[in-house]
Amino acid sequence: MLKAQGLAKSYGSEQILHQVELEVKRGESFGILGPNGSGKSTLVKILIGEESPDSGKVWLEGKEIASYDSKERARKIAVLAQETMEEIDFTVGQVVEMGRYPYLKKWTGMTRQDQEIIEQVMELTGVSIYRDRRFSDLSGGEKQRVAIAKALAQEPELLFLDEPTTYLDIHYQLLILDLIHRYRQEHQLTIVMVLHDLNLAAQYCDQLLLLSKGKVKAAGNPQQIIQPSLIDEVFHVKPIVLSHPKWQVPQLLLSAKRDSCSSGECS
Amino acid sequence: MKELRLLWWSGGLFLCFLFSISATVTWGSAHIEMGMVWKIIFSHLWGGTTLPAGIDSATDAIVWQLRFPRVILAAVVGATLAIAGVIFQGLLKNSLADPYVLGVSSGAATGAVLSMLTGWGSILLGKWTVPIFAFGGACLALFLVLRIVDRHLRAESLILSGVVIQAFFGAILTFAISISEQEMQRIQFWLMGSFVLRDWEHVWILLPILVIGLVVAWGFSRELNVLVLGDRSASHLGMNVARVRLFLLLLASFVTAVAVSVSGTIGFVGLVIPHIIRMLTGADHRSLIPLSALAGAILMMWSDCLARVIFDPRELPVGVITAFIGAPFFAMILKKRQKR
Repeated sequence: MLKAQGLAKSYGSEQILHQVELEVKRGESFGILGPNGSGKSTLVKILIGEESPDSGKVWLEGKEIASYDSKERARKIAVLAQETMEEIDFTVGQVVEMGRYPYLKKWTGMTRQDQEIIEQVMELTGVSIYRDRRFSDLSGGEKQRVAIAKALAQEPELLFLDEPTTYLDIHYQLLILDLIHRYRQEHQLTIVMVLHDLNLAAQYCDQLLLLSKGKVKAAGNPQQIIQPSLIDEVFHVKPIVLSHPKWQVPQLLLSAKRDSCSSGECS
Repeated sequence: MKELRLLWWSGGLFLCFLFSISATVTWGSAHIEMGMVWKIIFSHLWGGTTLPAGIDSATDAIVWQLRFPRVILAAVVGATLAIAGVIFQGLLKNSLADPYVLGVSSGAATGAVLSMLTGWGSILLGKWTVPIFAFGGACLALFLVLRIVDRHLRAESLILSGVVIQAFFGAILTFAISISEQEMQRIQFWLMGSFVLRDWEHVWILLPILVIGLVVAWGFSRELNVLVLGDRSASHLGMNVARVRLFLLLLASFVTAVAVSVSGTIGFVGLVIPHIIRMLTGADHRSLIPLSALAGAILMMWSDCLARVIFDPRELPVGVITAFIGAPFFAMILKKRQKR
């Protein structure tokens, strides 16, 4: 579905990415992990064709991403970014409608099919009841559900999630990720997500890619990636790794360095 | 529900538009009755050469050659500036932007005055000389403002940049006035705007530009809507943001320039009107653009009417009236933003 080889990018003299390669298979849920400044967002921007790499290539369904027309690309890839902070004077219905933009021709209105898809995704994400409310009046979690509805209205084959739950409380974090997970299973959607929370990543992703200082440190399934030594090397924390009692995926338990603090050597 | 509301406002504004035409043609130093005004207008539009019974040729001349073209020109200028305001506000995601505040109008006026004083290019370009020079000035002003403003296009930064550019071009204009005494009167009117001595010729320059501007801007209303979500979201939806933005900025500058070249710099119409319409019918550009054009036309017709009749027989520059309405409005919006 999505393949990248030899990606490199630098801003000025600072090299952000070195020789990154990855492959995402159709229907897979693929997680990109790494500490702040490891090049995750730059990698995502290159993978979705928003920026071009200095060297290396990205292929979407065997065709180079740069050769896609921008609307054609938006019919395949949708992006859900962090919750928007901008003041938006539109109603929820109008915002979701904008997801159909890549399908609409100039001077023509929406077809019945467009309308139906909008209805479907609004039902699915549970935002129909807010239809006529002003977008900016919603809470953060509600806004993010509307953003998902907009992204799904694009009928994407590949959905990018760029830290979609950063500002949300745990209720909404799970709600958003479950919603996407369910949709993925029903529609054969491929998902690439950048998550800060390693435990959520282990539960929702089939494959993980660990970035460190712009390089691929490791790639594989959660069992291979969520390992104390790797995590320590990349994030500089010494976690305890347990198996999730229900899903049998590795979960991290962070432990504070209290023993050294209590003896007064904290600073 | 929302559609009904939109329909109400569209209908109401259209009726108000028709009423404004007849009322503002009626008012003036010689009072002419509304019925007679429409009789004369219809006789010219569909009739032949003969005047309808009971109308003398003097009245006919006042209506058809003086007041009606002037009122129509005011309407066309008002509509044009309102559309430019909608586009600037949408593109810069800033409800305080308008061609006057951004200094684009001053740039256009400077270009226009330059072409009048020097006479450059008039053989080649004919009646389009002044508008084209004005467009050059408008583009230069816009370019400078966008160079000065910070990357995030914050409201305060944008306004300050506009003020600086306005001051700069204002100085050039005043300089031009000072060194050319015989042209003083003609140039002075560019500073505050006026419809004195404007006739059908000017209507025919601006009207096609308004129609083109309106149609093209409306064609881009979906893009303007999506841009409200932010540049990144717009590009994720498959829009070529840089290209669309450049095109629309040029479009807005162009229509502003042509409007300025026939009537001078008239401020605040492009600021006030989109605001009011947005409050009444929402931010969707598909309705915002045409309704703003209509409301801009109405506001300008009445402003010009006031400018004519308040100190009759002397006339005020119409920009004085719009500034009296617009400046407090501007202050109000600014204050409201700070509270947030």
